[in-house]
Amino acid sequence: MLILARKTGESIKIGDNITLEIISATGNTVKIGIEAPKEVGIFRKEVYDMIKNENITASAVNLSDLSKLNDLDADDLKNIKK
Amino acid sequence: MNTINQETEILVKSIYYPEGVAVEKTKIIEFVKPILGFDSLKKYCILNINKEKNLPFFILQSIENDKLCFIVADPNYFFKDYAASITDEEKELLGFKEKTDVILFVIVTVFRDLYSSTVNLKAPVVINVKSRKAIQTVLNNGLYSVKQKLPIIKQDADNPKTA
Repeated sequence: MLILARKTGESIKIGDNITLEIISATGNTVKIGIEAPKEVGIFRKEVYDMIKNENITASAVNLSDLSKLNDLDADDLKNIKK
Repeated sequence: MNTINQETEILVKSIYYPEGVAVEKTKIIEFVKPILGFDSLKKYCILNINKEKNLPFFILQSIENDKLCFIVADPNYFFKDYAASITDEEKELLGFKEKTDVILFVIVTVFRDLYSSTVNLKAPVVINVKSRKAIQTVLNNGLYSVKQKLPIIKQDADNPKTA
């Protein structure tokens, strides 16, 4: 891992299009400003991991899941609609 | 067997439709912000699970990998007040013009016991049906869970099916 020391107001470039700026550092909290192209997803890592893991779990679709859903009918679902 | 019009359709294979289904090329959707964890796969289509039944569940099928699909659901069928707001950058990516051009799906995690299945309300899929661009967005409003239980109830003696 590359480690760089930066002062408040200083920045880091990642490639041509991404800039990280240190906005402030108080105690153990650092505020970082991020400029990146709009198609680049920016997430707190714990949120990213949570969504990615859920996507991976959800992608393990098998045929029996699908046939269970196919066995449902609109009446089954009507009863649950609030 | 399936006959397709090569000019306007492609044959999409799926674990559910191993022989493939003809999908109009204009119905292919492209993720301009990927499904997290699946960055390299961008092209999908929506398939029905059952055309005759009016189910709120659909298959979000990868066109680039026939083994990969997600079950998605219409969130408002189950959660009437559910809404997602997207950023200006996301609107631009989607080519968003009107609210009515956009549809919202949530990804379902199907459990062996169907009635324990959950939906990811925190990271819905937003599709612009006009531009055919899609994103998985992440809602940071603190309201929604990635594992919200689907409010479906087993029909048994205690919950008899009523017409």
